[in-house]
Amino acid sequence: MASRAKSTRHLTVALIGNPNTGKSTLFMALSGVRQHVANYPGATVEKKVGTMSHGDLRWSLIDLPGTYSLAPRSLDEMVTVDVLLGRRVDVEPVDVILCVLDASNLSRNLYLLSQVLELGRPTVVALTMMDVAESRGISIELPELEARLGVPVVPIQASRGLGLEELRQAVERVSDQPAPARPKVFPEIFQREVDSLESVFIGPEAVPQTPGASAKIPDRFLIERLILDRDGFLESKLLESHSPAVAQAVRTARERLLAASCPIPAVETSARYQWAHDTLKGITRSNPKKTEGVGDRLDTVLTHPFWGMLILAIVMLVMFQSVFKWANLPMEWIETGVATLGGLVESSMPEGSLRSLIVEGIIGGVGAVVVFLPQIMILFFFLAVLEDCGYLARAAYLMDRTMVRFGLSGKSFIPLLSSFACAIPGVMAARVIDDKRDRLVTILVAPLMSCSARLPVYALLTAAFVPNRPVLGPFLDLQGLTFFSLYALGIITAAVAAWVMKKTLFRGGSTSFVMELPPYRRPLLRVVLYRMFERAWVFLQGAGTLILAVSILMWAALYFPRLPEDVTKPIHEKQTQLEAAAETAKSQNDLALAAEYEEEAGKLAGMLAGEQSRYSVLGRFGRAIEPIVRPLGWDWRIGSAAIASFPAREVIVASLGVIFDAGPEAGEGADSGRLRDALKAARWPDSGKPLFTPAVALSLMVFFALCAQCTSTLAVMRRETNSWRWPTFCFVYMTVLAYVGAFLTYQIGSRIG
Amino acid sequence: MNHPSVNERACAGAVPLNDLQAGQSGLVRSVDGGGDFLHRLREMGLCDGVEICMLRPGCPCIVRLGGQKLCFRSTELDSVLVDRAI
Repeated sequence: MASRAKSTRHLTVALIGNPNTGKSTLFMALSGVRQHVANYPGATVEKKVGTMSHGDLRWSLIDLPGTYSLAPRSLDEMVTVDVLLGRRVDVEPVDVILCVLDASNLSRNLYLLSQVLELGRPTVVALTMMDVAESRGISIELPELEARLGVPVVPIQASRGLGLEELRQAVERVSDQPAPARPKVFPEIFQREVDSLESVFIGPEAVPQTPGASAKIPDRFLIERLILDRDGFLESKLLESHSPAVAQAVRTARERLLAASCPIPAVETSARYQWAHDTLKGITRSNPKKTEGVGDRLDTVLTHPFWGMLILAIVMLVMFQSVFKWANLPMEWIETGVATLGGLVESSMPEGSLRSLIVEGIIGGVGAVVVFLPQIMILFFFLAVLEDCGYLARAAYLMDRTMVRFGLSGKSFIPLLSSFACAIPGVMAARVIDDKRDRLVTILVAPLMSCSARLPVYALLTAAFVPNRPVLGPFLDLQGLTFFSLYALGIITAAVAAWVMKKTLFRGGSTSFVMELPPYRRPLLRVVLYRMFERAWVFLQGAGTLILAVSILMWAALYFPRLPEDVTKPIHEKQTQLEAAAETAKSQNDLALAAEYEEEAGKLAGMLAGEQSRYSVLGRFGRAIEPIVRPLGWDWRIGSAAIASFPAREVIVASLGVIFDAGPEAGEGADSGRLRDALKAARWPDSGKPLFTPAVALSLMVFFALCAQCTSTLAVMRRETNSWRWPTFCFVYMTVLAYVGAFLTYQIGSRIG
Repeated sequence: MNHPSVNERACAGAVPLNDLQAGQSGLVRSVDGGGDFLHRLREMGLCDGVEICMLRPGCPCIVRLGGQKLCFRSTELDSVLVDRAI
């Protein structure tokens, strides 16, 4: 390491701490906006690295996930330990560990610190929440605490920038110094067991004598964990690469410890809390005020079974209203912007494949990505506010009773609820769920919630084919009931799917649920905005390219092969004639006649687009699969439109427009009647009967309610689970469900009429 | 939620944590068992001799433990015994 001591030295600092200690705020204050977010390969935890320079030093600050303990229970938790021990190839070895401690709850925070100190790396403590501690009547003698811990302790207030410079200097100071002595937390007998297990690892029977094998001797910290974590992650991973002699040694060590009244795992918590107690003895004074604080009074209302639920409902209502209200306008801007840009290119380029690729494939594809941003950002703005002020945990408490019936926990509630606006932020918000099985199930059922992109489909088909008959007097009509049923269908299916998945795919494991209810705090706008932009960026970076690629593929499937010229030429000629006639009529001030000609030309253009779509790869595919969609009551045209909307379900309206010769814009705005009429007029070619009956419309809507027709959601799912397995599974099970649902709807619906 | 067998033990002075009423507090006498869930609670401070206050009983429950409020499902808590404060 001495060789690095020249010119600009590089310093790798890892930031660790309990959740809700202000760790993220500190990370933000230290690293600013220069940070990189990605997944650790093979894991679903995010690797957040901020870079900055301080003096002649370049810092890499690694933000590790908040944790109460360094006992790895899963691959994801092992990532943290591996980073701290310098065992990962994709992360520089850590020079200094920066441990954030909450001054208002020191003994629990010291639990984690005692583990951190055992890693044997230079360490600095950042003490946060001093103001909260003071308000609770807790005072701490800092110099004495520093002396007892043997590492620098720097009080900070990251949101106001206080103590940051001292913290940086302390980190840089210790980076040159030897690591502090490992604290003696455990009784002597335990230490001896660690020693003897270490010698088993070094022993010839444990490690194969190959070059580089010495690297396989685990750190003392890991050997300690191996004894402590029964059925832990290490036991399965570390032992499989070593001989059975090691596993046997671990078992006998535990037996001996149990006999010496050091039962695993209880000995760890009692020893560490004893250490924390001894460390704090005589240097902290607390005269807890027996009176209720503001937080307690808030909690009596906010966690109340009735008032709490009522407030939760209001908060959620306000959140959704705002998402719909505020997201619509920027979404319209984006759509208009994309259309304008497309128009500009269209007018400045000659007609042809390249122009179509740029306008429909690329610009349209980028638009399809960007259009999600308003919803993602507004939802995450609210979620960040709710999380930062401490309310999210209360909401999870309130909903746990309900969610546990489907095998989930209260923490799944907000992600699933967010999915009613859009499944993308819903899937991303599932990150708050620390139980991995719960998190996966939540992600997998989130797309079943009827998102806002399904609304146009429901609206078009309900208005066209469901009679407006009253059901409950003036309160509810058949159309309203249809809407309600489609939403209910999504919720019920999600509940059943979650329950089934927990009973089959994600069986076993603990059903335990422990959650801290952090003290209420005023959220900081800076932190909230930072979080919001971070998620937006993660979406663009992690899913954007894939969505764009699929958009281009779909464009090609609809564009090629082109209609032969002998088909298009006469139509084009007719079109040109009509347009010229319209111009002449206009110049003669016969506006009515001009409009008639233009309408004729428009109809021709719609027909041409329809012909082309039927001739394309996608159209042919639609024809080929007609036997498959026939039992759903669909003809090949509906089938093609449904297939065309697999990348993004909202294009169904445009696809129906094209395929039923009404033109791509027929379903929008003032023209919406044209598509409705075209659909109503559509008939089966053989029997001449109307194609769309209420049963067919319902079957199509049920299909849309249940199907995973959203590349963006699947791409985000891949990003969040760091594997293709789960998006593939989700796509398959939802498509099967959608097919079965649509089949039953049509078969039953067409029989009762 | 009554546990007759455990209530008998309560005669010795300690009651299971789930028997605490809203607002009642007590000192943790023993946390028996080596399950992952109990260990998690121990890691968060549920140790012998610590004062605990039941804020909202039921499942899940909310307790005050040290300087923090914790929420957890209380179905597996028969093995956490507390000396009820009077």
